[in-house]
Amino acid sequence: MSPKNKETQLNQPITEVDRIIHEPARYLIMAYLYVVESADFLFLLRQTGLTKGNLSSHLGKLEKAGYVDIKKKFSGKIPQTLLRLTRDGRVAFDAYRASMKKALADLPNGRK
Amino acid sequence: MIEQYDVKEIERKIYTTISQDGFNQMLIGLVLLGFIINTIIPNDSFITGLVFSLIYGGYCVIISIIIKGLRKRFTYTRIGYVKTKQGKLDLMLIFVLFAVLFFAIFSIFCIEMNLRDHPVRMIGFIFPLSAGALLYAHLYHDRLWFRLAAFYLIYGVALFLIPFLNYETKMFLMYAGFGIITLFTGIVRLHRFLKTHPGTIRESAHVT
Repeated sequence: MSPKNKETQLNQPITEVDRIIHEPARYLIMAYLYVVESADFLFLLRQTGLTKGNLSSHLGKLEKAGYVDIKKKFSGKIPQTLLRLTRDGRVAFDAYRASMKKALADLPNGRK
Repeated sequence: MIEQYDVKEIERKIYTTISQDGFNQMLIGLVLLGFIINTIIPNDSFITGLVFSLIYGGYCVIISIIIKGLRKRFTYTRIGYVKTKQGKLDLMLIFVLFAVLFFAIFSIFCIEMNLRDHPVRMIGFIFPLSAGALLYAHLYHDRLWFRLAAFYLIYGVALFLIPFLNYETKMFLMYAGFGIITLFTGIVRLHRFLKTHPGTIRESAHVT
């Protein structure tokens, strides 16, 4: 992602927020992968509390968007799915957090 | 609810999850117990120093491999595999190198000042170890290491102040005390971990 695109993403209005990340379960997946280098499917399953099907489906969407890199391998005879946030995924997550923070900070105080 | 989505809170939760298996304490405990070899081998020449370093180095490598294998067998099959970011580990490595350097310089200073077999050398071991435990507790949000740091300091200084024990006995008791208590806390943690995470779970779901 070019610096110009990144800047545009950071200044985007709330209506143009990244819908892929905006879904709570996908945000949680992205947040977990954001703070680690890589994790496997079982770790995310345990930490997020999502069901296998749900997690699998959300990961598929994030992979399609280019935010998550999924690699499958075998550890002995046990299959292991390794997950990692891509560079685009990190940039998009940073941009999403920045735009949400800005949007919430700009809200007028509701108290009279 | 908000905490669930807070990135810093998530990071803290991940480090807590990783360290709850007790293998870190077991590793440090065994490494500390290994120092007992130093009190058995007479440390009076370059050759004996070299022999100790080789035996101790080999021992640490074997222990690390065993702990890694045990973690793979007991931890990753229960909570899943995670590789944390390297930033904090790099800081830890710098601290370990600093502690080793401090220990080496302090030992040379003691030898130069004719304090080779003097209890004051214990200070060069107690303070870096306590500081390391404090740093670890701070970085990994693990309160157990705060308690261990306090124990290292109190037990080490108490041994240092006891007047009727000779240097070798004090060093032996220090390494043994540090090692056994740290190892014990690790075993207790592992026991708790195995109780709260029963059974081996094998991955069966795949992303399509």
